[in-house]
Amino acid sequence: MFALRACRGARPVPPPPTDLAQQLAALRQPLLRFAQMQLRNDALAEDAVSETMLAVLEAPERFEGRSSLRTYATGILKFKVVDVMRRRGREVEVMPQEDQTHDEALEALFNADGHYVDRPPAWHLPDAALEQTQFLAVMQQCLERLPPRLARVFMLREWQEHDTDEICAELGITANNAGVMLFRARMQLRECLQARWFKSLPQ
Amino acid sequence: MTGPPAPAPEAPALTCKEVARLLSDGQDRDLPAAERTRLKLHLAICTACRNVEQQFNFIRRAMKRLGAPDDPG
Repeated sequence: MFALRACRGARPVPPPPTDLAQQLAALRQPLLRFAQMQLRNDALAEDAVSETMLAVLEAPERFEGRSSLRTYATGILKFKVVDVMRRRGREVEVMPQEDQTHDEALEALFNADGHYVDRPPAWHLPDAALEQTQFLAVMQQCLERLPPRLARVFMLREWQEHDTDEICAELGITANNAGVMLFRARMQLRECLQARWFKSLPQ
Repeated sequence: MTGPPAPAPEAPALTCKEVARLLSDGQDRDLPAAERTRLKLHLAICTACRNVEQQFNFIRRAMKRLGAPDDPG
């Protein structure tokens, strides 16, 4: 499965620790889904994930002592996605204009007079969650549940950290379109994290 | 029985839905002063929207955590 095996004669790289390779293999699907949210192209997502896994396997000492292989690999994936996007060329992928007039998921959160149906409660010590690998897995699940267009815009803004002007140029959308989509994405993520993580914690 | 003074007709109070949109917009650009003021007034009296403000900020921190290649461990 790993390219290193096929190339063993060509390059004197010591084999990675077995358990690291096995853990990384288990991450392939989640990494692939993450890459697909950005790239919307299976072959390119495969490229980005393969390059990520190679990067980890070729320098296993860089990972030593870190508590989360998943977070480490996802961080590398971020840069590999950028590389793949650059190699793909600067074609602008124009997104259809988002329908601003109707969003059932968003409408369901508010009454007709603009008040919350369920008032959002405070979350208990949210930053403690950032140190827990299980929370980061939940975060990724919630990202994957975003509708594809919302995910694309949200990932460009919050993961790749592009500003809205860049996003509008890249996707061929207006600033207001981007604003609506980011709003919907944030509200949906908030709901998802509350339902899947913070709701069951002691308040 | 007299109630509180009505808000100025040209600046009706923001609804929580409008505030949520402003809070999201504020993550991406500087809000104009007038909107910032109306937002602050609403947040001063609305715990639900204060919670949402904190949670949007938290989501941003969580995304940075996901994006960081170095896990401080």
